Amino acid sequence: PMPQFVLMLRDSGAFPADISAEEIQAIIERYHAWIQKVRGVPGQKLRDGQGRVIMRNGSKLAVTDGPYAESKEVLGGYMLIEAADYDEAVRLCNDCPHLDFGSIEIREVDTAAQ
Amino acid sequence: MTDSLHGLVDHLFRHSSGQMVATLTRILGSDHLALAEEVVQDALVKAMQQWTLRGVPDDPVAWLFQIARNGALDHLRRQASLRQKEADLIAAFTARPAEDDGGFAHELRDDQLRMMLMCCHPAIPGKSRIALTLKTVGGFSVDEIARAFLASRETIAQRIVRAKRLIRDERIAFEMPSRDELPVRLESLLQVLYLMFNEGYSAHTGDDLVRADLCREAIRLAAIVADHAVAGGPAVHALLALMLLQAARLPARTDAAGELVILAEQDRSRWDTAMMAEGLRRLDRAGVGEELTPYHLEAAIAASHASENVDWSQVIELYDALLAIRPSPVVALNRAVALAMTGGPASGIAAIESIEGLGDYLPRSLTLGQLWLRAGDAGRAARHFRHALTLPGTTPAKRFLMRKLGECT
Repeated sequence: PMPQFVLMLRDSGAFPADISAEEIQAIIERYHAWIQKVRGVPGQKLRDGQGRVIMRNGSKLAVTDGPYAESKEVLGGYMLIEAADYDEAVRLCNDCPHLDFGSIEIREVDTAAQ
Repeated sequence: MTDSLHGLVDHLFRHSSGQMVATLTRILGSDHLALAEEVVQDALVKAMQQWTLRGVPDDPVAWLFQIARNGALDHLRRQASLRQKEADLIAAFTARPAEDDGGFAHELRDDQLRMMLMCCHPAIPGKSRIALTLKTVGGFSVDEIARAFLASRETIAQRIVRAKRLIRDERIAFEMPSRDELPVRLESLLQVLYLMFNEGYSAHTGDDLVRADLCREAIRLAAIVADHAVAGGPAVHALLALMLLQAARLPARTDAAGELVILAEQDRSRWDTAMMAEGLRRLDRAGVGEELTPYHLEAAIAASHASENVDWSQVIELYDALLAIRPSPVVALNRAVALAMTGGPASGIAAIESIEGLGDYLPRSLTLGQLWLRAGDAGRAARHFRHALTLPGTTPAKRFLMRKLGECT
């Protein structure tokens, strides 16, 4: 089986509030077409504006609101693709429509069998 | 989650938006039109955020309605005055649109019709009616409407804001007009749809696809009216026939290079035969009863162009009848073109020169140029083509004129 890569999609902000229904559909269709093309596994959208970060501080548990406020680009969601290696994963993402709206962090899934 | 390579049906988001805004406005009341739009817009954006990552659901419309319902419920629960509408909202937004009994689809069309009629209320300024119709039930954005009508964004936005304010201040209700009011209101609506279609049709060969969408939208909305038990009638069928017969020819209106092709030179095999057949069926239905409107006559003229051998004397008679009930210099110009087909270019030229009120209308100069070319006077023809090039017109029209000028040398 081919290695899997998690794509973590970040974007820097909202779309224009008055984006038209037609444009919205066009964006969805672009993502849909790209996922079909790379035979990607659909993922999930993460709920905006919330999150928690917990850390153990000695014997105490510190819980803070996340994601970190300093990060300009918030992790919006993730999906999975298969590729032979990082080079191919990068190549497949070359024309991912998400690049028009933000960045993609690619991390290979580590399986003990490799 | 998704099977299809096909993704989404064309304009699904736009149409669903219009359906949802109409139904939501019925439930919340016309004074909450802005809220209805906000809820629907939120739903579309949420769908975008979800579906881009999770894929398109198997029943996208049901999903959209569900997101809109939940968003609306959030708002309802926060406003005491709206809480009573919760039950109605859930009922209206929970039925599956794909149900066979058609009951839900029927309600959606009914709501859209009432929205259209509300947008044409006499208190709303003429220019604002098309914009408001396209924004609410058409699902177009302010930017798209501005581009379609070659107006500024601010102008369109203002017209829509003012119209919504009027609806609130004048307490214009979201309901079918009374039996007395309905004929006048319908006439306004048909005018709005006619203008919408013409704007799209005349600009179809322009550079912006959103103008082509106007034709499609006008047809969709006219069909809703035509098929309605109360609102439908011969005049609506006639208007819909006219739109379908003209739209059927759109694929032939531009050639492979994107250049404008006039009716006489069109490749008929590119006409949409299904649409043409539908247009002729509608024309039949329009023939029931005593009513003879300008739409009837224009539709009959459009239908006569559909046959291989156009009966030009019949076309001229139809134009005469049309001019009798709706005198217009543009119609007179079109009649002159038909006249030239039976009487030769000189008769057409004479007819055009006797028309008052055309001013600097580009098709006038264009037509005169063509008739002079047919009459064998290239010099006169060139003068008219050159004059036409100085007038406002679409890019393809200008390119057409340049080609014609080339034929004059």
